[in-house]
Amino acid sequence: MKRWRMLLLLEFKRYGKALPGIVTAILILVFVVGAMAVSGQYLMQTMTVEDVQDLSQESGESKISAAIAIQDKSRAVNFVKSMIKNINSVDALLNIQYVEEEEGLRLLEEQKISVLMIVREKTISGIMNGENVPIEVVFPDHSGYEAAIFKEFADAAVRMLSVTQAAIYSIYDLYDEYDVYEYKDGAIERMNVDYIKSVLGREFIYQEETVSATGEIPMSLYYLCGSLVLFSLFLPIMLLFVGKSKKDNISAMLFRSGTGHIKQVVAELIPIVSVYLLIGVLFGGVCTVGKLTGAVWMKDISLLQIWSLVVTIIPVGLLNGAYALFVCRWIRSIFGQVMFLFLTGLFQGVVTGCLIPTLLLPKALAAWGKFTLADGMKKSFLSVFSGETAVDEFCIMLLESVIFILAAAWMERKTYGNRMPERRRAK
Amino acid sequence: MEHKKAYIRVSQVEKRYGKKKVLSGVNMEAEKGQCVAILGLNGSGKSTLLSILAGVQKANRGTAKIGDIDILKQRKKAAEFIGYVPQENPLIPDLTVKDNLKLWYCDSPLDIKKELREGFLSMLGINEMLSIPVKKLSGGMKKRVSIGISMWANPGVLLLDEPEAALDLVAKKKIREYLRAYREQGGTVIIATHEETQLDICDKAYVMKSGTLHEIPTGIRGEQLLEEMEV
Repeated sequence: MKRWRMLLLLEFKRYGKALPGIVTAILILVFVVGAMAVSGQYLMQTMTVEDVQDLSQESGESKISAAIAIQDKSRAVNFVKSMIKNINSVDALLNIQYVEEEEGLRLLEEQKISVLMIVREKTISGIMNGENVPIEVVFPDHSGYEAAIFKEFADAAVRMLSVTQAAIYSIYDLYDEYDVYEYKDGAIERMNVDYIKSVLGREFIYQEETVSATGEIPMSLYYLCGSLVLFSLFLPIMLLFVGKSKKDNISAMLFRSGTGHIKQVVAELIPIVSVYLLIGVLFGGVCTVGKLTGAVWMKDISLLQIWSLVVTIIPVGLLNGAYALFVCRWIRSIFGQVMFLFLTGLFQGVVTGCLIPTLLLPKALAAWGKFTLADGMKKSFLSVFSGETAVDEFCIMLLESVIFILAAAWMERKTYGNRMPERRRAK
Repeated sequence: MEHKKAYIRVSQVEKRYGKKKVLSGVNMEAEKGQCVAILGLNGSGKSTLLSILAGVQKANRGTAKIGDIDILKQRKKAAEFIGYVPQENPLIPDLTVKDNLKLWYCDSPLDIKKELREGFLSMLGINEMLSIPVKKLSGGMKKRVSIGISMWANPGVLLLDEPEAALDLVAKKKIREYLRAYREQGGTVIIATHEETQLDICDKAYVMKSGTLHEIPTGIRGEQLLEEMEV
């Protein structure tokens, strides 16, 4: 134990001596990660609904071609046509053309349209008086996803018409009760128009609500958490060069004198976690000063949240340090280690939404997020702002750290417990 | 302080790396105060044998004892009696010589200050380079520091793996002087080498051939020695 304590002390000394290099590396990392986070945030803030619509319009090829053959000549039908034309969601997904039934069937046969809808005579008035003349929907022989999407539209329309029908019947009852039923025919046309106008003109009915891809957490805080995860993932690469300068055969010599491989890994890990903590305390200190002096960039965050983030850095540092120590023992070349840590860090950052929120990622890519180490880190940081507890994430990170410590020690033993590194011989 | 007295007896030691048999039934003996050389071509298994005796790696078969202690079964206990200087110096380059010594002597029966002042560390000339970072030392200086740290437990046996490789004449002389003094105090030295000049300081010599040791006279040199070494 005496030797282990001395080893730990000397590891701290090594990191202390390398401090200027570490600080420089950290500043570079802060700059790079900060630039990534700011770019992501800027991208998210400048991407408006119009951009999304533009994108949809550009991909006009992906719209579903539909044709409607209308035989009902009532005034309400014409009004419905003009309303549908102005609904953005319909326009974004469907290319609608109005045709005669024969032409529609021909287009369907030639596979120029994906669906044909036939509105027979007296369809609208049939809805009102209960005759219920069906609207026919014709699909080609081999219909694909277009049919499924169109079915959704048709279902929505049916639900809307059912409500309309119920309302109309209620008005009939009212006329009947007040003994003015003879006026109903004149009222129907106007009622149809007014009612359908209200139903289809959704802006009169629905409230506008802004939704964020980052959920309940403000975008700036979301990206702060994302930056902390990215920083934590990439920091071991910077520390790798300090750790690497220790000769491999020290391990074998320490082992034979009673300092086991697990103890050696832990002695290397503690200074790494201390570097994380030191950075966390510096970050906390800067933020505290910013808060106390009323800095604008600190308006969305409380002192408790700042120091909760600092506490969260400890298990995050432990996990990243243990993971890096394992990688260093698994991959022997420094280039391989750097590349592996960089690429896995980048992959984890992307799939857990540290660069672009997962909501906007392809589902297949975002699905990988929950299998990464960064998932627990990100959830832990986000929990500081969401108010949720992150006990599970903390426990998982500790468990993962223990696994990596054991794996690193096993790898060390496997490599150097069986063979001393030999001097490179001149050829 | 006098070194712990010991002798080494190795019997039928075998070692495989996968399917490759490196040592196949090695037998050797070294008495207290003796200097034994193990010669052999590169890759013949000298270093493997030394690392087994040092307790760094395990043998597949056989027995090796230092006094009454079974080296292969009580590796940590045996390590207290055996100092080991591997080919690659087991030093931390970023730290000074003093820090490197501290790592090992923090748990030593010896008084490091005394050893630096008038003991064997002084004899190795280590007291003159305490504040120098290891990465700035020459090859010879590093080797002397490596020998110095291998002595932390005041062992009775010193295993040296090619101690004079790539060293200049002055460094070689310093190390030989130290080894002579160590043996005068009752220490046993086993040196793995492929340099015949090393035989000058040895009482006994073996040649490693085809994974086994063959004893040879210490006086043979040149072509005769080459013939002994060739498989």
